[in-house]
Amino acid sequence: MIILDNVTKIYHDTVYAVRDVSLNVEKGDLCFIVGPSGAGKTTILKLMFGLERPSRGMVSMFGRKLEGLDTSSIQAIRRHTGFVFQDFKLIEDWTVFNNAAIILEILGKPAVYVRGRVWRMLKWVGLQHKVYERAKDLSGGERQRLALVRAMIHDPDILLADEPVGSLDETMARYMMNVFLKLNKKGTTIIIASHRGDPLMEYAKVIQMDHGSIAGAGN
Amino acid sequence: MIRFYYILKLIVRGLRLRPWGSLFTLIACWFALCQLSFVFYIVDVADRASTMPSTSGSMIAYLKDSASQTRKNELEKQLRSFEAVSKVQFIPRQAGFEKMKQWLGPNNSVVEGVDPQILPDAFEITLKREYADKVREIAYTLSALSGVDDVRYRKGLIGYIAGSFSEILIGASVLGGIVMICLALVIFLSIRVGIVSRKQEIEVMNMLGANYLFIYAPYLIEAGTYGLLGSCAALATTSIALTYLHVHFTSLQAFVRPLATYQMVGILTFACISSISGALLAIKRSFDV
Repeated sequence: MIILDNVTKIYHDTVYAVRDVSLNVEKGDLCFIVGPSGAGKTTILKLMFGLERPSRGMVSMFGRKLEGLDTSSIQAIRRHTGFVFQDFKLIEDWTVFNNAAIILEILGKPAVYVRGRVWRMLKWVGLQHKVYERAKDLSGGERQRLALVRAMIHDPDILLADEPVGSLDETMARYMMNVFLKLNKKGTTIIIASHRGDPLMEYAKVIQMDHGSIAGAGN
Repeated sequence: MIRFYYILKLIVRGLRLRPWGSLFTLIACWFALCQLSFVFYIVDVADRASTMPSTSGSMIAYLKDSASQTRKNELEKQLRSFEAVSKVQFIPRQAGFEKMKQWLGPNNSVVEGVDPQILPDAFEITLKREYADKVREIAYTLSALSGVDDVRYRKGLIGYIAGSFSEILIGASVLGGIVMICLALVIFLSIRVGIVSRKQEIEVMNMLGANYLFIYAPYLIEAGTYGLLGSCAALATTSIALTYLHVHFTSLQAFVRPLATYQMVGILTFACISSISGALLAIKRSFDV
């Protein structure tokens, strides 16, 4: 489903963010990319999502090479992929409801469905009482929960999550990780970048990154 | 499929973000389109001028050389008997020559040495005010009188306008083009400011996979709305002004008539084309945002 073949990403001609990384994520996989800060985890997720273009090598999503795709095709792939950004990428002036609903609006879902789905998802992560608050007024944990809702609300085929529970308290983090596990059991391919270990890893494919290269992999 | 309600929501949010900017844009659109209506109207007047009766308060009837003094006296009486004529003055050729020199002013050297005898005698005829727009018919009648060689009159403002139609059309096209460019620039600036102020929103939508239509449709609709509302306001203003002129200035009634439907449609179309062009330009420039 996701293939990276000898992918290298170089910034400013000299800085290697990712070096000769090859990996293959099958449909329905739960995959952890772990490693210290600066190991290249975020860059790999961005390469998969089409936010970065590889300097060398090939990235393929849903069986399609991203290099040859035009903007509209890449956008179509993004619409079927959920992404939890490390810095959340919420629209600060928008309300919680609108932030959660945006991807459903992009997909053109009916208004009634959007309302119902957003309410259910916000209630599920405990943000139902913040529906009409602006994203910029939320706490770090609340922002992260909202980012998770936005990434999952449209039942994407692939979920890419960059440090998805970094700002959550222990209980909420555990809860969200269990949600990921449930989603994965329903068939969603999930790739989580994390700088720390998680009990969930025992059910997952784990890729250890260091200095932009794969230092080890295992199940 | 993008839902209309959602686009409307985005537009309303944009307007709430910069209400004064939106208001000033609308006022600028209205002002520009008032000028465009005026340009349309001027062209229409110039076009109609050729079919309007000429107006003039006076005319000159030149006499044939063969007309005897007796005939000239009879002709003067005949002219005075016309209902439309208020005053008749005989102008002998020498006085006519002096008038011509006076009229030429500093350039009168061109007639130095010319024999005044080559000029005809003439009658200067002043018409009653209410017959000013019948000058053509009266001139035709007078020219048929025995002893009259030719009757000349100034065609007045309408005649001047009718004779300058092509110049007016060219001038109006240039002015209309400038107005349209100004309108497009106003919209360009407004939409550009709107896009820049919502840069983060656009960036996130782009990351989530929104296509260009989804992201930029609100801006296009906003621009179209400016054009549409501006042109409606301009048409209303023009109509009110024309109605006022029609009611209060009866002498202008031949000129003043409401804008025709095709002119209104033209103004609406030009306004929308200009607005959308301005918005498209702003969107094109913002792809790097």
